[in-house]
Amino acid sequence: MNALDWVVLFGTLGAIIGYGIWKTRGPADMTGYLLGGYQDRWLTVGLSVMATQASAITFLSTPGQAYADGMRFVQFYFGLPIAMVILSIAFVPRFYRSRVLTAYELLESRFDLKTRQLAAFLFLLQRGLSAGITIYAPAIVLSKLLGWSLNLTCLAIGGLVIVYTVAGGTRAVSQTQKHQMTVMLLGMVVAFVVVLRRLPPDLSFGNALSIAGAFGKMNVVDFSGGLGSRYTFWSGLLGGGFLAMAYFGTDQSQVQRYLSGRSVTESRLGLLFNGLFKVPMQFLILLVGVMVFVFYQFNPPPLFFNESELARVARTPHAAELQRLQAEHQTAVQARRSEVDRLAGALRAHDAAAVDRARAGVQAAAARFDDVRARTKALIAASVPRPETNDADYVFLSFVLANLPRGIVGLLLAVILCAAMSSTASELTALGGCTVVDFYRRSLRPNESDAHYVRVARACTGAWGALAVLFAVFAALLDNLIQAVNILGSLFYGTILGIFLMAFFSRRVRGTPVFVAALLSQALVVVVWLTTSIGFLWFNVIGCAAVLILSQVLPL
Amino acid sequence: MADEPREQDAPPFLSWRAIYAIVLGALAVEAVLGAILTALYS
Repeated sequence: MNALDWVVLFGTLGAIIGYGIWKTRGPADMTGYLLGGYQDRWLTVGLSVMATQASAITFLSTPGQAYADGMRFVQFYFGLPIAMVILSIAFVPRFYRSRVLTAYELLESRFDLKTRQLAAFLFLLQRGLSAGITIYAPAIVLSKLLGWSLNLTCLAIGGLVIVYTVAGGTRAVSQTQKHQMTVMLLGMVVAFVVVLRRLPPDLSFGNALSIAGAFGKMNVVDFSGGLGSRYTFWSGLLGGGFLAMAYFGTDQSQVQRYLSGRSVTESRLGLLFNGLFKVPMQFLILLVGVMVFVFYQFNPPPLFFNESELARVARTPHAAELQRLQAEHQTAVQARRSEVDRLAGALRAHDAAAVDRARAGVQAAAARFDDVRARTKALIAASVPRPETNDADYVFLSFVLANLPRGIVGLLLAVILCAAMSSTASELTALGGCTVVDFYRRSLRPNESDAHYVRVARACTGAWGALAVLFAVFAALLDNLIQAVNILGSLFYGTILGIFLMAFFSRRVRGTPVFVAALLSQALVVVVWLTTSIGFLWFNVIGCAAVLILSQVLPL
Repeated sequence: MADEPREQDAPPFLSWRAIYAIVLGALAVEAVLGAILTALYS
C-alpha cells in the first residue's frame, strides 16, 4: 500500500459515508427511520438489495473459489431470478397492503403472536450471529495480508457502520449502498481488465479459457443429479431458488430494503433488477478468479496463499520439511509452466492432436503440483495449533497486492470494505428494527410515542452493532462457532419460508398448526444436517416442504 | 416526503408479463451460454 492507495481508499469510503449522512440528516419517524419514508426509486432499491447480499467475503472468497474449484459456483444463483419473479408477484404487494414495518408483523395478522415472534426470533438468532462474521471474515484476511491489527480493523469497519446506521437509519443505508455497489461493480470490472492485461500478450482470451478448461476450471454448468453434489444446475435452480426466496422474502435485512421503495412498482423493479444482473455479476467475479488462475500458470504462485500460516510452521521443528516442500513446489511450478507453454503453443497453432497431448501433460503436471500443496496443508495441520488449511480467501487479495498498479490496490480494498459495510449496515438496521417492532413495541411497551420508538430503534441498532463488533473481536477464539454460524442460515431459512408460504397461500390453516409444524420442521432439518451428507442447499427445500406438509396434516 | 407507499401497479415501461419474461429469458440464455462454455472449454 502506498500513499495513492490510501488516498483512493479513504477518499472513496469517506465520500460515500459523508454523502449518506448529509443526505439523510434531520428528524425521522418510525416509518422514516425503518423504511426510509418510502422514498427510494427502483435503481436505489435494486442496488441496495444487491449491496446487502454482497458481503466482503463475496469479493474475497468468490474469485478464490473459482481459482480452486472453477466456475461451477455460478449455478448457486440460477434460482435467484425465478425467486425474484415469484416474490414480485406474491410477496411484495402483500407486504405493502399490510403496511408492515417488518416482515414478521404480517404473520400475526394472518396467524398469531407466537408464530410472528418465533419467525422474528429465528431471524434475530441467525442474523445477530452472522453480523459478527460479516465483519470478522474480511478483517482476518486484511489483517493477515496487510499487517493491520485485527481488532482495529473490526472496530473501524463496525464503528463506521454504527455511526451512519444509527444516525440515518435505513435511508442512510440505501443512499450509501447505492454508491458502494457502484464502486464494487466498477472495481471488479477494473480488476478483470487489469488481470487480462497481465496475461502473456500473445495469449488470446479464448486460449486463456482453454488453458483454464484443461485444469477443469470451466465447469460452468453441470446437469448431473445427485443430492450430495453441492453445485449443480438442479441444486442451484431448486435449492438456490428456495434459499433466494427465503432470504429475499423473509429476511428482514432484505425485506426492509425493498419496502423502502416509493411504490409496489419501484420495489418490484428493484427486485427484478437484482434478478437480471445477479448471475452476470457473479459470473464476472468468478471469471476474474479463473483469469487469476491462468495468470499463475505463467507466473509462480506462492506455495500457500496465506503465508502467515507458513511463517508459523517455519517457527516449529517442522521447518526443514517445509523447506523441502518449498523446493518441490518450485520444481512443480516450472514443470507445469513448460506444459502450459506447450499447450498455449498448440492452441495458437490450431493443432488439435497437439492440444490433446498437451492437455494430458498439463493435467499430469497439475496433479504433481496439487500433491505438493496437499502435503503442505497436511504439514500445516500437523504443525501448528488451530491451523487454517484453506487459503482460497487469500488468493484474490494476494494477487491484488502483489500485481496490481498503484491506486487500483486502494480501489479494490475500497470494494472489499464497501461490501463489508453495506451488508453489515443492512443487518444492523434490520436487527434494531425487528427488536423494537416485533418485541419491544409489541410485547413490552406498546403505548409509547413514535419519537420514543425511534430513540429505542437507534439504541438497539447501536447495541446490535456493538455486539457484532464484540463477536468479531473474539471470533478468532471460536473457530468451531464460526463454522456453525455459516451453516446456521441454511438451517433456518426453509422453516421461515414455509411459515410465510402458508401465510400467503393457505386460507384454511390457523396459527397453532403452523407454529408446531415450524418447530418440528426445524428439528427435522437439524437431524438431517447431523446425520446425512446432503448438500446444505437442500435444507431449504426440506425445511420448507416439512412446514407446508406438517401444518396441514397435524391434528391440531 | 411520501409517508404512505402508493400501490401503483403498472410499470413505467412494458407490461409486467414482458418484464418477467425478460428476467427469466435472460436466465435461460445464461444457462445455455454456460453449457456452451462448458462444452467448448472443459
